[in-house]
Amino acid sequence: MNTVVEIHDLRVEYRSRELGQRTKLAVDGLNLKVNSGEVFGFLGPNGAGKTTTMNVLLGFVTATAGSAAIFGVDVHQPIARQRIGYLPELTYYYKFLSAEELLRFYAKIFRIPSAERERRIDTVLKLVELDAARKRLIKTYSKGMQQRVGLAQALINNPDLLILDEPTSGLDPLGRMKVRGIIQRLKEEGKTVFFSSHELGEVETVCDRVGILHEGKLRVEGRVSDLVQQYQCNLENVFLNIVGYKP
Amino acid sequence: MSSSISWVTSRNPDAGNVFAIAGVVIKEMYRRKDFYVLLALVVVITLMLASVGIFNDDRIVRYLKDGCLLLIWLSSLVIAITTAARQIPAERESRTIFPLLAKPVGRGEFVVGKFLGCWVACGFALVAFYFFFGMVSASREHTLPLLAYFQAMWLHWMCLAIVIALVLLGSVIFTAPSSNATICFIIVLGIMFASGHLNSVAVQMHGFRGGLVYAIYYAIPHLEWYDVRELIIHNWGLIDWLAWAGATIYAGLYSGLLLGCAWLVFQRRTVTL
Amino acid sequence: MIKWVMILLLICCMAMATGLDSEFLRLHNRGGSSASVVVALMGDSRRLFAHEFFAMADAYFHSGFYPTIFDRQKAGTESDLKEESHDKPEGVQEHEEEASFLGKPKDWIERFGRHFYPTVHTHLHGGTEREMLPWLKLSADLDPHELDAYLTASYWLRTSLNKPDEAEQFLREGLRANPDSYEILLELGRVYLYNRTNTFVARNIFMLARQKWRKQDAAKAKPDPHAYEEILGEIVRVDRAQGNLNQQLADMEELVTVARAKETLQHQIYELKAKLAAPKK
Repeated sequence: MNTVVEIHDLRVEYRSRELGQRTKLAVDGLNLKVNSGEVFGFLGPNGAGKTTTMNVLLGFVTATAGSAAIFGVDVHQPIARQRIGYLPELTYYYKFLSAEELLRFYAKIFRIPSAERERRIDTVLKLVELDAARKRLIKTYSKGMQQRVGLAQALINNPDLLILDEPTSGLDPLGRMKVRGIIQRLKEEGKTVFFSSHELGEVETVCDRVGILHEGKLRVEGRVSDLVQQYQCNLENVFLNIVGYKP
Repeated sequence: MSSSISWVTSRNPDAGNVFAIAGVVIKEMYRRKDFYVLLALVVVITLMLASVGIFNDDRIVRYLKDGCLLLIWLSSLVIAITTAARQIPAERESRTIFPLLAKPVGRGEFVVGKFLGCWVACGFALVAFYFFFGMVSASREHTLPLLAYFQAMWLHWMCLAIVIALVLLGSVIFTAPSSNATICFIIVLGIMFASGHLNSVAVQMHGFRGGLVYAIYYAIPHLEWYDVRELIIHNWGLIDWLAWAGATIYAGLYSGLLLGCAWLVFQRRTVTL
Repeated sequence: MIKWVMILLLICCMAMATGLDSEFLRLHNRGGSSASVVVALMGDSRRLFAHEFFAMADAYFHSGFYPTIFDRQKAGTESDLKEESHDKPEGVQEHEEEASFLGKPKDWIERFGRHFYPTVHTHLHGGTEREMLPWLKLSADLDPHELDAYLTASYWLRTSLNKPDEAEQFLREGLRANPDSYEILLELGRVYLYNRTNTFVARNIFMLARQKWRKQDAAKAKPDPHAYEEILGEIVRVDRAQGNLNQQLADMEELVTVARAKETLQHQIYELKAKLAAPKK
């Protein structure tokens, strides 16, 4: 089985603004592997280090120690991001562009040839149901439409790895269902999905494996079914157990 | 133009990202209203100046050229500085930088793409401004020294390259675009007004202070070279082509230096969600 | 509803302003004088700008070859624009020395930079002097007491540009703002003498100029002695043109007391006396 994401002894420290504390440890010795074709759920309470880990994978943040690689390429190299699609939690795109122009721009970044580029734009716009609004400027879009544009740009390069940060956040039930459907479809196509979410019910439904992060450390990792069996409770209670919540 | 871009990108794949980012910047500029407002202002004020009767002589033209070129310079500096100052902070503010940098785009390509977009957009603006200027001066003088105007416009564009690179460097250092724009405006105007005379000032100072002023004189970009309004207004003819080429190379080197510094600073910055 | 009330209020305000304006002018006795917007906005700072715009005209006279504030070393040096327009004789060498403010370049940057601005000393000529006029007019508009603006503009208008009507009109504007100015009267007289060849009107104007000068001298206002010489010189020229030799002699004798070139003038006086004394055939 190929390893798509490999994180080894990752340590990330930030300069702290609090008095008496010079640095804040966001991620502490994280070791993680995500295999090809699986849907991996990355869980943890707020401030656990999930976003920092994603920032390192995406090249936004340089790790203090350790390493991370995507498809065997160090994440510092821009080429490591050639085969990934990323959907941020808060989706904001260039308001002065239309959806079509935005996708064309990102497709050029991925160096997709022009004929293939137009075909892909048509495909993803139809997939996210924005074909009718493709020529309208993004500033005229509703929040839901902007979320869908975000999904479209994450899929424009037909990525082998999709990194999703709270993909269903802010969506109505219908929107959530559609996103789950897209994740399921990607999984059937053999793509790898790495996403963080607070919707444990959703995670339990779509994920093959999960990892629970707490205070910068990976507390537990494994198949959902194995964890449920091990802790003899549903995933939500496993999570609460791991983070040390006592009712 | 698209075929030449294809030729470059086929031989240098990384250039494709730069051109793509530049294209978005250019689109933004012509979809915002700033440029059109400033162009309209230049046109209106110039036409108002032209309508003034002076001793019943309608052949007086130099004051008109002077006023028009001053407005063009001020407008172009406003466009260049505000556009460049806005680029990186606005991307951060609006969070559009995250989906972009999550693509296979290096920080250097991002900075160079922003520079190229701002610079080319300013170039288009300058063509429009100088076209209007040419029409105004030809209507009174009944001549059109195209080569001289081309030299002036080209040097103006080269000056804006240095200014834009400076502002982009400022934008990765200062978080607020307004303070960056203000500081850069003051620096640019100060350089244009005084940098050519710093050596005279240094000569009159003694010791360390004189040495410091002289060091500043050599270090700062000499933007006053690119302001050839006096030559155009008073019809002095063509600038020596070697000097023109030298100024172009100087602008290229200085812009490269400033962009390199901007890349180095930006490379070390964390871009966090 | 509110929109209509606002429109009605606007109409009432405009109607009241129209009615009250004439009352206001009458109360403040401002008659027909129209305060320009620029003057009202700028206040006394306009005098500073007036001086700068006169310097701008001088810069235009030299086609942009002009010292910046960093280059100006001598204080009070008269611009050669004024010098030329005052018809003062000036040595070429002195003029060139004043204009050589650039000097040798101190370093390669300065040497290279000289490709991008004017570095040759020239004067406008052949009708191109018109290019200075906007700045002179602006200078006069901003400070009506800036006499040099009126005199310089008039000089070029009546000589190179052949526009005596415009010169006269401009000078008369200057006279309205400066009724005691002998300089403007002198220049106005020259318009009549040299452009209109109307010696009678010219003489009257020169006489008035002389009267104004003497009045200022008597009041210890220290008027320019060279201007008095010029006034008397023009009067002498008028007398010569009119063929009034006796008057010419009297005026020349007055002129010689203030002239710089006394010897030449004295010689001319002797010649004229001899001519007058010679028996008529």
